[in-house]
Amino acid sequence: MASKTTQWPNGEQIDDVVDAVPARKAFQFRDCLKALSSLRLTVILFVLALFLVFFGTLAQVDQSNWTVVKSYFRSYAVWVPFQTLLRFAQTFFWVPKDAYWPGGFPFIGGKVLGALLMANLIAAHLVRFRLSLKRSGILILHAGLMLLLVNEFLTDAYAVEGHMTIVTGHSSNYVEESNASELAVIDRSDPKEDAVTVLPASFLMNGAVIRDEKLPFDIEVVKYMKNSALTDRPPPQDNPATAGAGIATGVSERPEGRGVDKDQRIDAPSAYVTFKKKGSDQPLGTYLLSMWLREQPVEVDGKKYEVSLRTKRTYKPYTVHLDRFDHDLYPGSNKPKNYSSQVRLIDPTRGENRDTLISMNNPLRYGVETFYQSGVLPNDAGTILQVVKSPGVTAADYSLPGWIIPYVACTMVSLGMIIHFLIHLTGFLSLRARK
Amino acid sequence: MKYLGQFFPWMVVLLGGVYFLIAALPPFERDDEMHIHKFGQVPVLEEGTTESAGRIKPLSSVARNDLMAISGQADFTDENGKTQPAITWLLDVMSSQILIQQADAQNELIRNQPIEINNAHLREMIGFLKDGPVVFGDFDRAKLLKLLEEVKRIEAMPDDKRSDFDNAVMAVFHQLEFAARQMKKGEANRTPLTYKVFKIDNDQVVDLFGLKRRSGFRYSIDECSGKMDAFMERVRKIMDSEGKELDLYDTKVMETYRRFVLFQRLASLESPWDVPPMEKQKTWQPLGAALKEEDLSGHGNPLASSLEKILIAYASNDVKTFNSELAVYHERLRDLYPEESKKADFESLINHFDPFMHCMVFYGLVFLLACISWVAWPGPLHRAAFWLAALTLVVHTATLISRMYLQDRYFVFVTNLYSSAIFIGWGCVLLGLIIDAIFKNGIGIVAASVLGFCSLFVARYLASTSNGETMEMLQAVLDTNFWLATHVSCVTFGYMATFFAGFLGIVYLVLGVFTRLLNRDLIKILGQMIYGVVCFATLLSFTGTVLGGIWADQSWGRFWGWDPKENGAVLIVIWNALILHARWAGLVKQRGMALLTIVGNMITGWSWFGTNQLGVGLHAYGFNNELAVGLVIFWFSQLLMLGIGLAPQRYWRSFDSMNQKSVANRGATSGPKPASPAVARR
Repeated sequence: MASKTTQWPNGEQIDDVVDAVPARKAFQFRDCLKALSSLRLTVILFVLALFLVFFGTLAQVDQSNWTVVKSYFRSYAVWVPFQTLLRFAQTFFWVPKDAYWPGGFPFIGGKVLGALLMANLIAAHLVRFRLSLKRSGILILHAGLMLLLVNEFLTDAYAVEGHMTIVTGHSSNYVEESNASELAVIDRSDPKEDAVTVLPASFLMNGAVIRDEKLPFDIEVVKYMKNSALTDRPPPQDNPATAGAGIATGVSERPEGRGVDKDQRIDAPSAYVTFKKKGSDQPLGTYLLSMWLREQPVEVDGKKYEVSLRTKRTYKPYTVHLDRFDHDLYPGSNKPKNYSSQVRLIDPTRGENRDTLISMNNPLRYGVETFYQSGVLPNDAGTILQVVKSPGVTAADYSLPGWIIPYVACTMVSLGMIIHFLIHLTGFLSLRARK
Repeated sequence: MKYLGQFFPWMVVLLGGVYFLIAALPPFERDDEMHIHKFGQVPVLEEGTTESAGRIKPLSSVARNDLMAISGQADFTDENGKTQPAITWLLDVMSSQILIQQADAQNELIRNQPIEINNAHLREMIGFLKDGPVVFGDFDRAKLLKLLEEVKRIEAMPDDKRSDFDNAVMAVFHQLEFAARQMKKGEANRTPLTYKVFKIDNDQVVDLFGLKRRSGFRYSIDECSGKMDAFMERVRKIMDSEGKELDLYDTKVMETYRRFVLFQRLASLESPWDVPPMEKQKTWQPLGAALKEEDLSGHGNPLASSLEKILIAYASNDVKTFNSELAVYHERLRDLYPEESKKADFESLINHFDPFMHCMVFYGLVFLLACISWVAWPGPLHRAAFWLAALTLVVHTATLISRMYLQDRYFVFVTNLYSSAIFIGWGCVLLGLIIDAIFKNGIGIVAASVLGFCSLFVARYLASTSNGETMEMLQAVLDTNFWLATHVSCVTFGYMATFFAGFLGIVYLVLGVFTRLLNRDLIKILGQMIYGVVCFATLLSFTGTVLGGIWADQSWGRFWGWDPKENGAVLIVIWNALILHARWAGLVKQRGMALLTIVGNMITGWSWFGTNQLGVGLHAYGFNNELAVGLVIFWFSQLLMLGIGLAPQRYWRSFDSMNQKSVANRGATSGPKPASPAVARR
């Protein structure tokens, strides 16, 4: 029963790296490779991956999908709070809702785990590489897996997700990045074109003072809130705001929203900032800037500017015009049947002018960018399109967009498995038939 | 005996087939009784805010959905203590007000009947203007009394003494008398108010109504009517405190209130939308609104008046009119809406047949036959079990296909949790039969029947959580047959194969620990089975998960989003891959694999039901406390199995016997060979 060799179910022996006898020679590269190629390591990495995915799932109860992906799956290491495990207990084991478990523990992050799996896989093939029909399935499937892992790294590095919001009958030429905001200073003195100076929200840290020659004034950040909600009244005491909308309204800080929530809630940051005359301490006033508020006028040396805190905008060479937006319900119910946007895409730089219908499950692909039907404005006034830039070759002819990679990779893995299992199944069945 | 053994399996299959055929026959309705079942075939559009709204379906389905929403059961007990189908209840409710409404409409006509008054003096005396038309409705109490006074006076004197004025009075009086005799007094059908169907499963709410607790917690409206004011007061208070989180009591109050509202809407013919439009582009209408429209404009939808006639005939117990008008209605609908009509008939028949119920019973029978075959008469019983399972699988398959036909989604097996359960059952039975065809030892059949039974049982429970509606319309984002047919089917099949492997793992442990049946042959065979199924599961779950990624790329713009449900699917892939690699690495052998597959069961349970409970993510479709409890019980049962399996092998009965045997063999005497499933070859 307890023999040392491993057998396939059909009796064929496999060479097992685990039981390889270590050579008595000095430590060599090949030994190192052999250790790295160990199937035991594979199993251990799988177990770690299981736990990582499980923790990363539970963490989404408290944090946004976006934050979890960054801190669990696209990180080197992650701190898992016990509070996260508590969520599991609360959902299934009647632990009270207000319980609190302090502390946590460190865990391996997705990047390291992915790299180790990759190394393990490559090492295994270097050590045991043998081109034969019997192993062809394994080769194809593992090559596909490597491609998938590479793709996940690429997505991490390049894919940009943003939204394009268009009111019916209007056009848009910029994409708003859902998870990034910026402070914009707009100079509307030129009747032809507005001059906009933007400051990424990452600069807006509590207490920071920002001085830049491009800005018409210096900015001191009094308080920055990553997510907030508007309140009817300003704080009754010590209202930081001395000018602008902040005199009449206030905000309350909110926990981070959830990116994959059913209503796709996006964080709405707010900030109290003091504008100061360039190079001096003379304040122009403390303003409440918020995603919830419109542009506010600020006057410095007799010149008018408008300031606002808004989602980060990326301007595009093309324009998308929304001709028509449809939101159908199933008759007699309030269940959505379909959302669709009839749009016209105009790109003078490439002589493009086409009409397309974007609907659920039917995106518009344009170069390396893809437009998806993602949301709807209140009262069906317009559409929200999700714009995704896939990693890929951004050559002039856009011949190889990156979204193809997963398709190729997955076909390879599935095909490889089918070949591998079929070869062994037929072998096994013919062996049984002979018996 | 040999002769019997040859024919026994075929007899079993034949009997089973006949049973299914009889169960599938539409109910026979005599000409002298109401054709209730045929009424249940009438297609209507269910409306509302629930999951079941927005679909055209037969009234029998609506009846079942609504009665389950109100009482939690698909049938009810009438005032004579007889159990009746939901459609009878709905018919009673729909027709409960119809006589009153009909009488009101007719009385309205009579009130507008002109009354001729030729005598100007009389007109003045009663209180009318000099000229202008007078109708029956114009005679109020005061006017009538005045006229009656005159009549009394005239009747007291001999006929020949009457003046012209007197004759005019009598002429008007006779006209009024004639009209009054035509006036109708419609009566409400009181029976639905006395049916004890309203579920009030909270002591405080029961107390609020001043009722006594009873088993089943079902009460009638009549019982509740005494304290209805106090109840409505509470409801209004809750509605005013909008947005506040409700405690259990208030939640139950609102639950009860919604049940009353639903009943009210059904009784006043506001729901469902029964009347199809005569022109296709218009919308369906509730019967109540359609009838009102007809009363106001004089010409309405003929289908509405036809339905009204049917309900009136039912309310006035007129069997002949009910049946004939119903036949006419069906005839008209078949011309106007052939497709909807056909589907409603068919769905109604499936409702009546309830095929999965019978399949469950049959899988139970198959299990018994297979188990007995290990003890006695192995050949014929095993064959009987195999072919009976195959027959049941045919019915199971046919029902899956009929559901596709009804939803008009061919090759789409799974659209919701319910259908995933029946599909998993189907896959398990198919896989079990294939495995049994290869190994011929009965284990495949046992796995097929147990898993088939369990998944259909789970499906039945899931159906009850959605009030019996199992074919709801799909949210916009899910509404793509291609991905439903490929990704969802594949992933669900992956769940299925993982569960199947887990079940084989349990079989291995149970046979090893509690019986002496597990010998070396069987260990090897079970190992091969588990290995093969895990390979299959890896392939399916990986391909399915990846197809899901491609779908997400197509519809949301990212291939992989680390959403809870996606993570659940990838856990299954990783776990299956882990089992295979652990096996290849020699870290585990058959017993280890068996144990690992049981952990696979737990992970699959998490992925199938658990991730939804967290209530986050794009795939989250509903938290359900009972499901969470069920899942926890399932996890503990699997942990128990693991614990048993981890017991040192010296405590396993099978290994005990194996060791004894080897001792005995050394002593050159061979004991009786233990009976084993592996021996039971065909």
